[in-house]
Amino acid sequence: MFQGKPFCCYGCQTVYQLLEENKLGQYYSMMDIPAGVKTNDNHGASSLKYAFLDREEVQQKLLEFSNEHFARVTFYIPAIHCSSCIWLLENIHLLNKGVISSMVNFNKKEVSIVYRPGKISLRQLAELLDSIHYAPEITLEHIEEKKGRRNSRRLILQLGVAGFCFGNTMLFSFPEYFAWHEPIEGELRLFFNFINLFLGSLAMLFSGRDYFLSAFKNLRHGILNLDLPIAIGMLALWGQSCWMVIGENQNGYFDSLAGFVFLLLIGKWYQSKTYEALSFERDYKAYFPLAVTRVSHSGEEESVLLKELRPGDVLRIRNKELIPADGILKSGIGTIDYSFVTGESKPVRITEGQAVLGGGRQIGESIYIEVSSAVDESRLTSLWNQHQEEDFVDHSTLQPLIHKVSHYFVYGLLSISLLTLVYWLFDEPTGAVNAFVSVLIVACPCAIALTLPFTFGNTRRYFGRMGFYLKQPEGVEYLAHADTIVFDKTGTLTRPDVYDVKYAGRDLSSEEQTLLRSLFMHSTHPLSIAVYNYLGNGEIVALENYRELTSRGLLAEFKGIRVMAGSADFVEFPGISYPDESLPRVYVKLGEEFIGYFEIGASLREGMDKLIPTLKQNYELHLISGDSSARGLPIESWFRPENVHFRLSPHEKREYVRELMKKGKKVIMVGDGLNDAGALKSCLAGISIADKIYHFTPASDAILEAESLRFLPTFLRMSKKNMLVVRASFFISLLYNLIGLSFATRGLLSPLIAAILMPASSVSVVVFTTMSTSVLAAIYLKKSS
Amino acid sequence: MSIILILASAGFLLALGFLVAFWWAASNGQFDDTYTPSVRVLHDEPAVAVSSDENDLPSDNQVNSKT
Repeated sequence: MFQGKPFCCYGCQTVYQLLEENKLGQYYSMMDIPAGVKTNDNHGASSLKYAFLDREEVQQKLLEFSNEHFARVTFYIPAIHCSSCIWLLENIHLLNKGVISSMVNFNKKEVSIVYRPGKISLRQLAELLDSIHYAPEITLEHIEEKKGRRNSRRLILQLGVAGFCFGNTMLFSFPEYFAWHEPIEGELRLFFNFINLFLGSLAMLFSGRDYFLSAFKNLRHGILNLDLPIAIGMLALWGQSCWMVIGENQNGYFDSLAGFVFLLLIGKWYQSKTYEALSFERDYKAYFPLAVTRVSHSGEEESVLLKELRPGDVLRIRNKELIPADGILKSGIGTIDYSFVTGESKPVRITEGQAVLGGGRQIGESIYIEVSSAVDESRLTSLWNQHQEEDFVDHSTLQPLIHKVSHYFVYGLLSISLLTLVYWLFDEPTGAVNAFVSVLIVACPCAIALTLPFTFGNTRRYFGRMGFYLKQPEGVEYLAHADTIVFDKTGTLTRPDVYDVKYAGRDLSSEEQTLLRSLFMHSTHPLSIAVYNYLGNGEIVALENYRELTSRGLLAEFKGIRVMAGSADFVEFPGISYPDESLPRVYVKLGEEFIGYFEIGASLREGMDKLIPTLKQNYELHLISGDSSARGLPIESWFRPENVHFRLSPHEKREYVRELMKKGKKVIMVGDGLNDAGALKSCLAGISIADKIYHFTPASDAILEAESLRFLPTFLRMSKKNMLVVRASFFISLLYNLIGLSFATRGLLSPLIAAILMPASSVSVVVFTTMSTSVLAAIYLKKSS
Repeated sequence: MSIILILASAGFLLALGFLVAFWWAASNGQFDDTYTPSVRVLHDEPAVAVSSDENDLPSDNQVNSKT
């Protein structure tokens, strides 16, 4: 409670205080309920968290611009989630005089801040954002060069120019089309034609340039793709039109040419619209922090960049911090959660002198480790380095539909045009070239090129609404082809944060429950949190002499009675000093009485019991896990015994998926975490499951919100139906091509016919594909949600 | 007929002017973010001016904000 107002958490209260002091209280009038600004997990973490930002080389890389008076930086802030966030972040200059202005990009979840380096340092700025719970995420990945923005700007420019040319050539072509009775005057006609020549050439050379480059590049590698007939068509259109304008003083096909380029680019633009705030390319760099705390020989602590770590350095790893590289535990008691690396959910206890692996997370008190290898040479990160050498999945060799179609198309086009040429040469040689070029013009696969972007792009949009984010629209096709699904267990089928707690022992009175609740409340150990949640909300009493012994248990007193909870040997539970536990247990002792124990098991995600049997009907299912067993879950019985594998390392998981791929299986891998990263990249379509999609997800072809995993069969079924839409749409565009050919082979093609036929075919394809995918989405997605 | 020539070229030049304006806008990043400005425009300016931190009179906005 603060100023008579209730707050959900300390974080919100801090924010409120800060805002009230600075008269930004308006923030709260923007929503009906006081806005819940999400607090970050590392709440109250060390003050050294952003210390690395004081370093010159980090600043150089992060700052987009800086001199003595101004500096500009862009932070990625995953916590941005509503319009109030925009408001608060853009008024941050009221909180600190050093900030000049700030600008939010909501789609990218970024904020660009211009500030005075003399008044506030980069580190203070990050700490300020952190204090209002918009913790910037600064990882190695963000330090590397940023590109992509330039590219999307170029596409917009090309699209705009093509649209401009299209509109204006139409305008200057109309007089010709409508002058049925008397042709327009020579002077005017010349003027119009040359403007069209200029605009058409501009559209082709500037906006259509990429198609030529791509066609040329593919031809050199011996690949026939759709860009080749597109480039040929454009050249034929342009050459024929130039000849008509310059040689014969006729109007050419420039309006068709510009319209063609414009429509193609619309398809490309639609295809390129991606989920900007999501990252599909993350490797370990995004998961690791930028800097860690190094302890020098004299005992001083300093913040050091990961890449500067050398074997022999001693690092201090605090509670919940990551171990960045392989090393040896120097001092402290390690309770290391390797769930991200191996999938094993039970923390591993490590004593001094034992080895620790990079990627683990320390739970409990600080430990000191001595680094034994550089960051990019550790066991975990080598998963990526090996991968760079060989690109295992070459998607172009998978022969998706579009590749097959373009093959047939190119051969069909060439043979028809040559046949036409030969026929005309025998029949009437003067019209031969005209007919030949006409065939090339009219066969331009514009409508075919638009089919995929609009079918898959539209489906991807619907998937996105359901929490399934595809990296590229083509992902739909890979999903449709798949016949095998490989699941990871930990964090994918089970929930990483919720546990299935069972209590065994004598019944607890409500006072005893209160007592235990008060005991477990103070501990941050995952097991304590699980038991606390199991006990539920309720009364809390103050305990005395509370102590937490790392890796052993909790201890406190209440009115002289000792309350103990922890491992069996800690509470000296009778009979079982070294129990054979398949599941972790927390034993409880009240005074001198042993009460019982809590058994903590993983809990399956909702709907899994339906998901697996549904998928089983149509797909070959596999389960691979880093865990040692299924831990009492009914999972094993859902899969065929020969397809269930435990204790696999990240490398073995990758090899497993590769073996399946080599056998000709079309594999979808569903996983989370770093341990699946290799496997996710080795299969046809890797889907990473995420509870928080804006936080770490390993590189993959798609990100699926954990909530929506149960809809996976629906997504797959819909992808299959999409292929039908694609086929139907190809058929429609081929029909238009046939109509065009019937004119072209007879030498009857005129600019007017081309100007009608081309946009008509493209528009009908776009309308057909968007409509039918929307209908599909309405049928399938509505039913399941 | 020459008046059409003049008008047509004037129209074309005008259109070129818009193309240049579009080019400038696109390369200045006006199309980089097409969502945030639509939200930003709905936000009121903060009730207090930056310079008046000594002035502690509550403004209308703050009174209203006690919800």
